[in-house]
Amino acid sequence: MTHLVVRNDEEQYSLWPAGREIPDGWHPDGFEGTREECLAHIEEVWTDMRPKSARPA
Amino acid sequence: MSKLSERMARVAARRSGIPPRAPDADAPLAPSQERLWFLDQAGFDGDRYLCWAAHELTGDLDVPRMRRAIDALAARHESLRTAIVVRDGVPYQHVLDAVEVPFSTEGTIEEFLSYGFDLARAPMMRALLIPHGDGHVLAMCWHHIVCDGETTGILFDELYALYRGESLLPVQVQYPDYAAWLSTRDTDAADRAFWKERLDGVSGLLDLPLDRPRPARPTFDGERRSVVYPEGFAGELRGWAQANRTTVFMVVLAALNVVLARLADTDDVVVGTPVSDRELPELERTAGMFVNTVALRTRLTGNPTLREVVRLARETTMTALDHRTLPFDSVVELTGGRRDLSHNPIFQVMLVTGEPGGAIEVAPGLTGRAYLLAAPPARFDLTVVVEGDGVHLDYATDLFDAASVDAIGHHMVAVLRATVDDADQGVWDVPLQTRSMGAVSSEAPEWEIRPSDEPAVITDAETVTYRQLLRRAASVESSLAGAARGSVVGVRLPAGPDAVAAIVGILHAGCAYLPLDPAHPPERAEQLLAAANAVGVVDHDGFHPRDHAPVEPSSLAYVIFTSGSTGAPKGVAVGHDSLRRFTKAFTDVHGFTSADRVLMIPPLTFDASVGDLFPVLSTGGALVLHDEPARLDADALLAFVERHGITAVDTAASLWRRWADELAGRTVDWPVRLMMVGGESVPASALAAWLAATGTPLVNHYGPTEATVCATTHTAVASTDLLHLPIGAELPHVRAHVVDGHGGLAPDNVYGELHLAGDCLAWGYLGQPAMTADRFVPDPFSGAPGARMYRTGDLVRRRLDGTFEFAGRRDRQLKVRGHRIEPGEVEAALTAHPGVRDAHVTAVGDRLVAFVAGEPDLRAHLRERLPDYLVPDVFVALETVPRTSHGKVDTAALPEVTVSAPYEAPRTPAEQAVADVWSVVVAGDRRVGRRDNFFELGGHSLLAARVLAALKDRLGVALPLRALFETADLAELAATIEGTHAVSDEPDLLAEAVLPDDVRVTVPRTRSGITVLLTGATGFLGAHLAARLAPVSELLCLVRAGSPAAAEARVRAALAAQGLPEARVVGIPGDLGSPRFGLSEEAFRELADRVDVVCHNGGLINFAEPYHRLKDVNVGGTLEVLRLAALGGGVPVHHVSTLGVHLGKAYQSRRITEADVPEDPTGLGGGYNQTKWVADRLAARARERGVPVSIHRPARIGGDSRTGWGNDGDYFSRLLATMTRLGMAPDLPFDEDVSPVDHVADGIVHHVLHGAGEDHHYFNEATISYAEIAEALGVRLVAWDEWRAAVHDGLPDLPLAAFVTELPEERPVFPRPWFDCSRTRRVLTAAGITCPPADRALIRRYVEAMCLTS
Repeated sequence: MTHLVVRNDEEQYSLWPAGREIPDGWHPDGFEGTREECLAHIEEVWTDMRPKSARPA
Repeated sequence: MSKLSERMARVAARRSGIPPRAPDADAPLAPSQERLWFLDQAGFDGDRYLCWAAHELTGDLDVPRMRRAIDALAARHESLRTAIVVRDGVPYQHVLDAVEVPFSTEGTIEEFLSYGFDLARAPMMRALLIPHGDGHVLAMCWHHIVCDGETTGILFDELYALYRGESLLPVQVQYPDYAAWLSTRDTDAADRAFWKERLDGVSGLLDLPLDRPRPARPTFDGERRSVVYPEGFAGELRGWAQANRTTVFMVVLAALNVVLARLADTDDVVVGTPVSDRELPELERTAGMFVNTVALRTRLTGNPTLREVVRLARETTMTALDHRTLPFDSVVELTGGRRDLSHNPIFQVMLVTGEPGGAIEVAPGLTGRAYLLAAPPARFDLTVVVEGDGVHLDYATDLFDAASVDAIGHHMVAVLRATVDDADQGVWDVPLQTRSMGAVSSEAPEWEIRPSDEPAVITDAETVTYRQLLRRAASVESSLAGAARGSVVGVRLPAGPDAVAAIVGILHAGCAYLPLDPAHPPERAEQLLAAANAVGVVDHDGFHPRDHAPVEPSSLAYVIFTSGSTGAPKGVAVGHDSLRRFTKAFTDVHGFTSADRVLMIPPLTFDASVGDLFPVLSTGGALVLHDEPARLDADALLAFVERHGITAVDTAASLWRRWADELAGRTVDWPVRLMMVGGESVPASALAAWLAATGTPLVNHYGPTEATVCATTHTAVASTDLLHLPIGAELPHVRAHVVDGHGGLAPDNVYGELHLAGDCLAWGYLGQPAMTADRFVPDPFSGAPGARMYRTGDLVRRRLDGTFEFAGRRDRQLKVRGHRIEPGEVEAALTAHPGVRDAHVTAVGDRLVAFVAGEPDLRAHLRERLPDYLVPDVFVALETVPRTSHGKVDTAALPEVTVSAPYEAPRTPAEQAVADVWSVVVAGDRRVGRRDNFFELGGHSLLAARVLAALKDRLGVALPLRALFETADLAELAATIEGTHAVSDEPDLLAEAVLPDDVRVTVPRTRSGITVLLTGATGFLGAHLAARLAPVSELLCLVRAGSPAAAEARVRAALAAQGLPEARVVGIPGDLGSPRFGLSEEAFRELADRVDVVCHNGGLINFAEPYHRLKDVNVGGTLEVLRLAALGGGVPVHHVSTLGVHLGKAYQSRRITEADVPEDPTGLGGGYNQTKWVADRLAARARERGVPVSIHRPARIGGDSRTGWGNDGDYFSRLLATMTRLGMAPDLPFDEDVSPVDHVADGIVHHVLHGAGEDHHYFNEATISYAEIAEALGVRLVAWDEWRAAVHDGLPDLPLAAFVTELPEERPVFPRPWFDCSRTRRVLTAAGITCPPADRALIRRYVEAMCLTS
């Protein structure tokens, strides 16, 4: 099953099954693949685990 | 439905006319009846399978006339005069010529229907006619075995016609004729193939969400809920069905399939429906049971559309109807596997069409109308009755609450509505939620700790006020000056004021705390500090900075490491937002105030401590800490609570359980107002005791660290019949979604994975973005843009009251033989037993395995509490269940279990007997072991009856049929049998005659020679055998003696006593009555290797002793001989038995040849014949195990035909001596037989030397009458009375005194069989061995010899 890597406005990453309507507030970051491939991608790109709102303004 | 009737007609056409059976002949049961009979026999309330109907009658009613009409009805239909009789375990229909139908004019309908029928008595029908309103109610009730729904209608029609005085056409075909005709028809192989394929891989149990655990034994109590379609919807539904060329029934079936699939979260649904097999025209008016049940299986794989499911429903139904004649029981049998009494096999939901109502014209001036009766017994979990304007739902109250059934009804309407509105939507997309989701409360204030002189932290050692605490915190805070906001700081201190102050100080400095276990080695602490990139650690000596990567400033509050299922610790990072909201919610829900003193048991490294620290400190209450909380027993707790005025306790469920157990039965008066537990599933069993002892509400906290301490809470103020405490409802800042297997929201009541969302989530796992992304996923349900939800991995369901029920870890869910199993449920039932300290349940292969600390085998305990499939197959007893420091079961440390269920040979006589019976009846003579299950071997209901009949025959134990269901395997059934043994002095010969399994030839012998082992050489026949064998062999004689020489001396003496020539023998000192003859294992083995043939003649000959006094030698000795022979690789054994084994009732006055096997010991009297019978049978069974056994059965052995020398001590010799002494002989009506010892010895020795493996009988057919004996002895022949008087007068001085204490008044008869020994005679004659007749000359010779010797 193909998944998309998605990201929200807090700059948090997750994945979502391809072909299903993506929930509001989540955006594909352009990567898609198997679950494992998506997770490996996220491991690379998600370098700051702080939610955007938890960072000093 | 025209297509349907076409199909019916086609099936009918395959049948020919039904002939009447022979007059007065009993008929077999029709398959549908067999099932009902079986249910009755099995004790499943089968007597209560009732058919009934009732009519309200208004107008002029002639009661006597109605009564006559009812009797006339019974006179018309044989089925109404049928009783079920059983012969040899097989049931038949027996029709009485006339019956009187019980007719009552008093009582209530409820009473009338409250009892069943005795299937053995006709009629299985009764009637009730009672006043009701202005008129009457007439009710008729039948057992289902003679009636069905259609029959009910026919019978009421005919009753009213008879009442009107109309003459009815004769019944064309009587039901028993139909049944007899049916039994002559071939079973349809095509039907079997169809059903086998159609139901391949079916799980057998639809996993519907239940309100109560399924009881092991259903009560069948039922209730009915009804759903009426909204105004106008019935018409819309009919219209849609017509437009789509189908029927409402099919659309309802489809909707039911969808609802069941959604509720059970499965795409494989089986529903049952009744079908009638009455389509032959001549059966139109026949009363009887014609109903079969078919299973309608529908696969909903891949989210098919509703339209597709309607099409599937129709197709499934049509093909099932094509194969509807195969009885449902046979279908069940085809699916194989174990039976489970807790539910109907294959399907648990039934779909039926309702009966039309309306007024009936009974007679002029008398009208009837259907009178509605109570809900029928719940034979299924759920029965859906399709009516024109809605559906009825008849449900088992064991399982469901009315509200849940109503929910099912609403779901059905929702799916029907969706079908009519948009049949092209996927079945998993139809919304079935009834709950609307509110938004979470958003803002929560920053918590703060206010300085005061009130106690903040209390221990036995010190009490620290808020001011003191804040002062200590300030010093920690100052040491962190300059650290970036959100820097992680470790706290490596035991729970106490210093640790609390450190945490407060760290947070005040804007940093995040990371609790570390001070008991852990420094390397472990450093590992976690490094993983969290901590800037330093606080311990007893203050703050120690450490090297770290640059810190990005943030609002991180704390990091708590949890051990993941993979074992690698995960640092859960929680921000201030979540902590703030949680603190507010938790404070509110528990009503914490400054008056509270809260005992905090969880260590700081568990996030449960967060739930104590901040809610308590922010409200000004006191935290109370104990040095060694694990050591707090109930009494220590009571003292501690008393000492510190504790008002609330927060602990782990396991510790609470211990307190509850210790306090059970006591009364506690204490200031504790809240007992908070969490961390694991809470067994509800201890709750009642707890509440009774303390009255303190128990609050269950549920929540993963990832959702900040606690997501749901449940306050228990009353005990519950649930296994686990519910986890309650969400805290206000939490959203909880139950997600089904298709990623959608599960309906209420339905199990799914709990996903937590709202303002409670952690950031994720520090330094582990992939793992975070995997567990924290987009939330499509709450509507908040960009929201995440945390997949907890926990299975829950939301009850209709809005609370959640925890059902275990998703990844711990087991599948065993198709059943979804929550091991926690089994564990809870195990730990509910007072003898169990801890338990862990898992699956190994296809078996459920329980590791139990405590009592090892709790099958019986569990069987009362759980359905059979939840009862573990294997129990492993442990001292303790190994657990990690986190309390999780250390699966690696569990012992390995092999559960391939290797063959285990039967051990006890009862086990062997069951194995023999199963092997023959169900297993096609295959080998059957202790761990075999009757149904897995291919057993089924009717074979079950046969097995029990055979067991009764063999062991004399009558078991209820359900014993076969209630026992998991052969060993358990045998144990049941042993448990039911009647205590009796009479030995159970059948059970005795079970050959232990070790007597079996495993390595066949290769050598042969002429070494003979003879037992009983010192006896009468034995001496003659020894005398003949010694010259032609190396003769070993087993003799009770202290040494070989002594043994040899005894044999010599015996030979001399019989006037026999001296013989060279080898003495083997040993005892037949001891295991291995009393030899060492080595000597026994050597003997087995040395011997080429055994002649087993030894034993105790005594006609007065009971069985058990003779058993050791006569039975045990034979067993040891057989064991020796098996050990030697199948040494031929010549077993000297007796024709007395044929003196049982079964063989009286029959011709008995060597081919007649004495299998039936019934009526066999006297310990001697009984022991000989058992030994005889053991020998015969050893033959089946590879030991070449010849059985020699002499009748009476007399003295040597040439010398007249005999065994003066035996009965016949003493009888002759007594006759001589008294000068009289009784005139008895039978002849005596005598086989001279020399002849018998010749015969046996011939076979010992030349033959093997047959049975030989030595009955001298040339018998002698008492008249001839009298003449030979020269004494008077007298009447029995005179003889009896003379013997009684002469006792105890007469030779016969050793055998007789009293003679019967009646002249005895001797109903022995006619022994036809022609085969033995033929063989021996060919060898030149002939038997001299028992004639006057022989008798004279005997008496002369006696006189000479005495």
